[in-house]
Amino acid sequence: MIKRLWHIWRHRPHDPPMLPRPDVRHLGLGFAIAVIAALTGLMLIFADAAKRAEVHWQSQIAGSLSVIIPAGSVTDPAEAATTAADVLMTIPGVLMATPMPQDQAEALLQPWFGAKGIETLPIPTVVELETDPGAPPTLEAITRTLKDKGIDALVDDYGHFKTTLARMSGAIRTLTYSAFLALVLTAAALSAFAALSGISTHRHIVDVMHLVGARDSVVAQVFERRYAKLVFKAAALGAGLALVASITIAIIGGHDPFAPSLRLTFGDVVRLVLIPPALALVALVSTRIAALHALSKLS
Amino acid sequence: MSSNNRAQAPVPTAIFSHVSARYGRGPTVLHDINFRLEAGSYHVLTGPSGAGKSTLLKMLYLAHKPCSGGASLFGQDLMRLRRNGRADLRRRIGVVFQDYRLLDHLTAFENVSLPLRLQGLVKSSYAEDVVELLTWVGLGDRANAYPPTLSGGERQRVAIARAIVAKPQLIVADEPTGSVDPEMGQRLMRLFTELNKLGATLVIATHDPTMALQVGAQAWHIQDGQLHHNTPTPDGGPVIDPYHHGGAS
Repeated sequence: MIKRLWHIWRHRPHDPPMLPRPDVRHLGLGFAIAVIAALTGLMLIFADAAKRAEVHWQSQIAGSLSVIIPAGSVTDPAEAATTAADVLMTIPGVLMATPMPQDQAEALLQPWFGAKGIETLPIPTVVELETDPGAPPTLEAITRTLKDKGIDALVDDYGHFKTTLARMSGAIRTLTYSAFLALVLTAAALSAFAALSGISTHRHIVDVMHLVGARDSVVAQVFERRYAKLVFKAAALGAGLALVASITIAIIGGHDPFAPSLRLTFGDVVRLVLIPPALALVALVSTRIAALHALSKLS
Repeated sequence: MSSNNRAQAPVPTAIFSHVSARYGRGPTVLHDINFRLEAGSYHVLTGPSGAGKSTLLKMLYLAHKPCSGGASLFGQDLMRLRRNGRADLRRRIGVVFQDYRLLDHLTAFENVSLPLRLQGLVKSSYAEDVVELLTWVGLGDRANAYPPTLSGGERQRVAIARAIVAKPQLIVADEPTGSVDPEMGQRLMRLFTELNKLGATLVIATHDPTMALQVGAQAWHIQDGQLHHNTPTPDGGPVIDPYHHGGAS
């Protein structure tokens, strides 16, 4: 395959092109391929960003637990929090137990209930735990220890949040990779269609080539070369646009929580650089299949 | 022109036996065609328009497959030949069309060198030969001209040069003098005669019934899809040879 790509790509200045110079009709194909390449690049970057965001958020909540003491079960929330924190610190695997200040707990509820009158609500007492990632305590052990000390509490390890996060990230990546696949197939279909159209338009050249003894594979190669080069150039333009767009998004993303994940990584640049040759290869294969099929129908 | 290829091909150039031809599901345009084309022979094919001359030539240069009968070219069975095999055989055939079929975006030099280029040869290996051939057909100073800037006669000579540049064993020409003036027509026919003397097998289709006699070729006449092997007469009239009618010559 590499030898074949080299043969198609190599520059032989003494060989005039077998086909006439590309005309304005090729602009349409070039534009479509550039758009496909740009979208493909953005899809890959977003898929990777979604994964990075999931990892980032997962790492933020890894090793963290919340112990929630319902408001109705204690008379003095501050004292209950301190007592619970002392008990929790005795559990192996707990590195730090910090009672959450009441105003901070209220602030967590403000987005749902508003600031006005929130102090009248029964706000639960929260103790934040930092656990040893290597040997974290089990939820059962924490609940049992607290219960043994007469503290009726709920323990939240954010498991539902982690699951939702992983599901969302997976959905985003599945969607982007599906779109990526659809775009690549569209590029293949466009190239094949262009090749068939080219063979039809340049039928007299195909006939002459056949009559002077060219095999179908040689004739097909003329169209492969034409469209693979065109797709490579257009895809390079599209990948460049995707690069500019992703840099712009990362900059104007500002302090958005998703912004850290949108930063352009070396891996993203490598993916963008690989798009033109990858799409050219797709064009090469689809053009060849289409051309050989069309040529086999000719006499 | 090298004779190496011909020396190793003692078999007849072509043998057609009870061959018929049709286009798609249409009517049969050629019926029970029989002939044997010896290597180095010279045939002139005449007949009215629509009689089947072009179809017969197409079968000879492998652009049309017989629908029945047996046909071989250079000893290879055309009925069983695969596409790649056909392409390889075409390299041993030079074809001259009435409408030239030159590629307008290529110069005369590039058009003539096309068969060699498609064989994978590099320009340095054939450039001198192509220039020499163009000079031989009187177009040495027009090598870099594009077909649209050439006259009909010049284009025809470029087409002839392209047909013979790869030293084919069989040259098939369809009305090669049909669109040039009589003087140029004579000149081109002399060129074909020279090629035949060099060993090439020639089949030329023409409307001119006197041509076979002029060039000393065997005359074929095609009428209503039937091929007749004629004996040319000085007045150009086709006299059907009853001993060859429908049989191998």
